[in-house]
Amino acid sequence: MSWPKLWLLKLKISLRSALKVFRRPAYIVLALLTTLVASGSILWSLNLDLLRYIIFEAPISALAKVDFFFDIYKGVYTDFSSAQSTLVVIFSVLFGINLALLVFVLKHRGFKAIPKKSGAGGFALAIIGGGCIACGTSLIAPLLATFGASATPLIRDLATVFTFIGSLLIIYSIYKLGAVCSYIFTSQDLT
Amino acid sequence: MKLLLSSIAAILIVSIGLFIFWPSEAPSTAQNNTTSPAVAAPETPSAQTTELIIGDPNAKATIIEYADYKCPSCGEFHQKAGKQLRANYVDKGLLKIVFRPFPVYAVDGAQALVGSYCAKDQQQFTEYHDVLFEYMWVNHFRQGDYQKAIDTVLTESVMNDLMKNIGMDPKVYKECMDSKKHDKAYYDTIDLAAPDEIQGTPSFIINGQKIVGPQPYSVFKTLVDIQLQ
Repeated sequence: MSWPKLWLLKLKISLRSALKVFRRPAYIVLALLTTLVASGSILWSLNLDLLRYIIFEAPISALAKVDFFFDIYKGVYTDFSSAQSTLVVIFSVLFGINLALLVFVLKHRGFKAIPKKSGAGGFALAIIGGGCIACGTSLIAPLLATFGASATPLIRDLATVFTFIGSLLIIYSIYKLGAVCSYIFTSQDLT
Repeated sequence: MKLLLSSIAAILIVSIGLFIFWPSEAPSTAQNNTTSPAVAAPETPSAQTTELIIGDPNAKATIIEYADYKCPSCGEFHQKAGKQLRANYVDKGLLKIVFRPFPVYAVDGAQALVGSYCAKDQQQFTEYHDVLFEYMWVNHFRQGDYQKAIDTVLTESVMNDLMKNIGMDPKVYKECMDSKKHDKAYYDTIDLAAPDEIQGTPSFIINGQKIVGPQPYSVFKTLVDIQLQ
């Protein structure tokens, strides 16, 4: 079998096994929750003090506080440039899937079965890239300055690139975890 | 199932714990002004007399904005939340926006920021501010051409055309710029960014609370409404 065909077959098996995991509703809940936390971490990363003030100190109703928190989720579709906001959403969903698979593997095979590249690097990159969507120049500008780059017109592009690379790393992690899941399904006769 | 439930619980606990116990930033000078609804009171005498204000200076609520005319995210704020704030609060005399120059992009951008004080001399600061953001947005940033943030685009001829459009006298503007009479006020205002812990643009301070980035209108609205209470 030629290597592209073999690779495609591996990918197919891995994805099918990953999908099988989500036949269990608890993993869907875990993935959704992680998606919300991941996108919240990215979107609120530079305004945590503000969020804390609104939730714990601001003289407004509880409903207004909840509304304030979720407004930024709505905002991701309207207030930031579309490519960047779409990437944040895609990344967060992928991260949710990744974590749910990780827990599945942990549950059935323990720590030793977890592939080495399981998403931490991707999350770090996406935080840098995604955080910048919310901040404009605040996060990447000082980083670039540290490396001697004073001009920062490409910050927004860099943010998109970072989140994109982060998403690719997470996809790779999902692929690797899916392969482990497939082994678990075949060896333990799970459905 | 146990592991799964523990994971869900762990995610919730860790996120809430991090959120609650993550160390807060040290209070800035602006944040120390929270007792006063008008946090715009500047800290240095020269900045005090030359604050760049949009709206009624006696308005009850104040937003301090650190921005650069050539910053794409600042332009995005002005196209979205900024316009809504102007229509719903500033135009009704409820809110003033104190614009503080924070140069990030290229020399022509910094020159345009210094020029804000010369526009103020001609009683045209608000129009000057609006026309510059509009020019950068419509001609460059809306199309995703962020390279123009560092290219020299605010040339003398472009600036002259923009000024003529809003009824400013380019000659008087040039004389003002050449005299460098507002340089001290400009640099004094930039110095206010350090105690306010400003690291990038756009950044805002409303009633002592810092907002970083071109956040949705609702974020600004909530804080302005609290200030108006």
